[in-house]
Amino acid sequence: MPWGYNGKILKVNLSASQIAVEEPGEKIYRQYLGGGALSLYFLLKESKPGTDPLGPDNLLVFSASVLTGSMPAPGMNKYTVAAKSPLSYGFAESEAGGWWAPELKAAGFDAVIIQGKASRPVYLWIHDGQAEIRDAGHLWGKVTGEVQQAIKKEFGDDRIRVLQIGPAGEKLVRYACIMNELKHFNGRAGLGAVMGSKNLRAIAVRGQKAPAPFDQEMASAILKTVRESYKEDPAGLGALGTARVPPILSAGGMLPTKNFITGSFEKAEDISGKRLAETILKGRGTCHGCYIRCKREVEAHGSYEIDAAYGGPEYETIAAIGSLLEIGNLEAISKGNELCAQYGIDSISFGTTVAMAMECFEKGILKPKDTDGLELRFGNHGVMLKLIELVAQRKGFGNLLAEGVDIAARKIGKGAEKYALSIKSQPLPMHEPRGKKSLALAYAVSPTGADHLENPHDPFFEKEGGLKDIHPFGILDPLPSLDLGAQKVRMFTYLQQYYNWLNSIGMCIFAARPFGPFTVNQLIEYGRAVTGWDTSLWEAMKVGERHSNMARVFNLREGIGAKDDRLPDRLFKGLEGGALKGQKIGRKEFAQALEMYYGMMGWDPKTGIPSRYKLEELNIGWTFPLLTRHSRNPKGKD
Amino acid sequence: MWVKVKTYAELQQYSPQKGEEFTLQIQDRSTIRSLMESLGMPEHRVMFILRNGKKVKETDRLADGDQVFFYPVIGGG
Repeated sequence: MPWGYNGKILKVNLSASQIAVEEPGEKIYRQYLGGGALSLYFLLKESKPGTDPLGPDNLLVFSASVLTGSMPAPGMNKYTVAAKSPLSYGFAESEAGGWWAPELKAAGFDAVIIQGKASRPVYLWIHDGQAEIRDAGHLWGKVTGEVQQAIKKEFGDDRIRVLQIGPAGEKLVRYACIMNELKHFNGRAGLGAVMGSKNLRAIAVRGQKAPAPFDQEMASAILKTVRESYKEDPAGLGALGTARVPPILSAGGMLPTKNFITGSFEKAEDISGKRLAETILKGRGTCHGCYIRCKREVEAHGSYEIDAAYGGPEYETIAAIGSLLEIGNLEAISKGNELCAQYGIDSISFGTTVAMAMECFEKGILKPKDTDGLELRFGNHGVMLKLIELVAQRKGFGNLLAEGVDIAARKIGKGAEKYALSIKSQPLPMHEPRGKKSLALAYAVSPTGADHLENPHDPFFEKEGGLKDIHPFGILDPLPSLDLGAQKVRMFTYLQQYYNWLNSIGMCIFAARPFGPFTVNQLIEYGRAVTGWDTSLWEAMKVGERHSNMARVFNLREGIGAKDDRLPDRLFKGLEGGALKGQKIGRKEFAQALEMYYGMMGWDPKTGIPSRYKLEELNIGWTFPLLTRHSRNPKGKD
Repeated sequence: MWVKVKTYAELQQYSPQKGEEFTLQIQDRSTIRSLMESLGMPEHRVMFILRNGKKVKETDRLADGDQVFFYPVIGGG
């Protein structure tokens, strides 16, 4: 019998209004664990290449993990949403924490797979081992706060956990996002648009008791040890949030500023966690089981009305609609965060797309007649806020920006594409590869394109003392952040699989080393206690590798390969200001690192195609035939 | 000699009164490394050091009246 998980996957066919339950069996759970790996198992098995990402045949998978929710454990509360992306036309996945995944486990399911498209707006209600498709006509078009309130009120239960898209997802904005409980976002890769294309507005869950762990006593003892080792830092992640980051990165010359032209922002202190705490911070939020409390909650009644129900800006948002656009007004940024949450838009993609448009405007490529008269200048926070609404509603110039930075730049033409910073059409997030070179590789090879969470960043491992956390992987030598040689590639290769494994067990990177209290070996011990499996770090890392290889197969059969593992030209040019002025990625060093990574992964070093031997070694030999069934799918743009 | 020190975010815990800014009297020609050692600040937790606004290494020697800012390792999020 399964320990820690239900053994049940809910399958919903919205076209036929049918609900079924699949029980894959213990061996599948053990080999894929959950998260992106389990999602890829279903995506590769049950979807075809060449599918329209916004069509009914795209599969939308929500996956918790074998460990999620059994006990209140810090960070152990995430789920992955996965599908084919309307941005890259390849693999899409995005994680979120909060409260939804533990509740899904308590409601009797480990994952939900959505197929087809409902004929009219619906939402899914999952509770106590059952599921029901319900009419959402009264919810369609409303902002996320209203929808959450309406659903909880409908059942008279405030403890229902609501996952949803916003109006932007309904309008198929290409970087629309999914969220749960208004504050926890599956931001990237356009998954909100996929959900919207299925006429699915929300998935509400309510359960009573999570699946019991195999050895409750052992699991508790480990959690106790972890808790005792955690010393809350009075000025760290909990106290000041990820928001504390802008002045730190700016001092080092690597805060993404003005569309990645430069690396320092003179208003960095004005948009910091410290400033937030001194002004509009109302509280510190958290996720199920977690005492780190990294989330911000802000409230304001000044220049803008800001509702704390939507939380507050985290680092990525503060940079993407802040320094990236040379906006140094924290209240405007916080209002922008609230609007993105209300409408369901990825703030990162929005920021990078607007940055392109602002650069075009300042260079005369876009003129007021093209932008509905709006002055798209860097620093113009009023325009930034206006654009969120226009994008969400696909109105006027917003309709162009809603297509994402690549399509928008192509349509603008006149050289706009030079200023569109994306990889596989996923807009760049807010960490600077020219200052932390493993990110150059990470951004390029991430299956979803430009992901800043492929691996822990280089600065952690520049000195001996920082290596302790990754000694279990056999990484013993520190490396400079600006190095991109073979040993840095080795470090990235191992740590990418580590982070993939964390993804598969629904574990937040902030609760595990190097950020948080759980050591690598404690996570293995905890996993053994919850599942009863005689498992090891070896087996865990193989799950991570499985994720990388399946994602690679998914992309290759969609025609996405080595040619797409690239960087925007700007990153090969020197930063124009700040402490790292002149710093760039070298084309040769990048090409060599890419080849080295492919080789280390057991893929063809020139083409990045996984060998049959590697796939068999990972016990996913069944994916090998999929590699030869390529699609001739044009990316469907324009 | 006297130096003015600023410790950002997580590094504040190594300042004598746990405040962000403080002045400290140290031996002439001390290195930044010896300053960090006297504060009990582990090197691997420091990402950047600015001395009078310029990025420097731990081996740099300090001068009277220097302003030294320490920034912690962060990443992701």
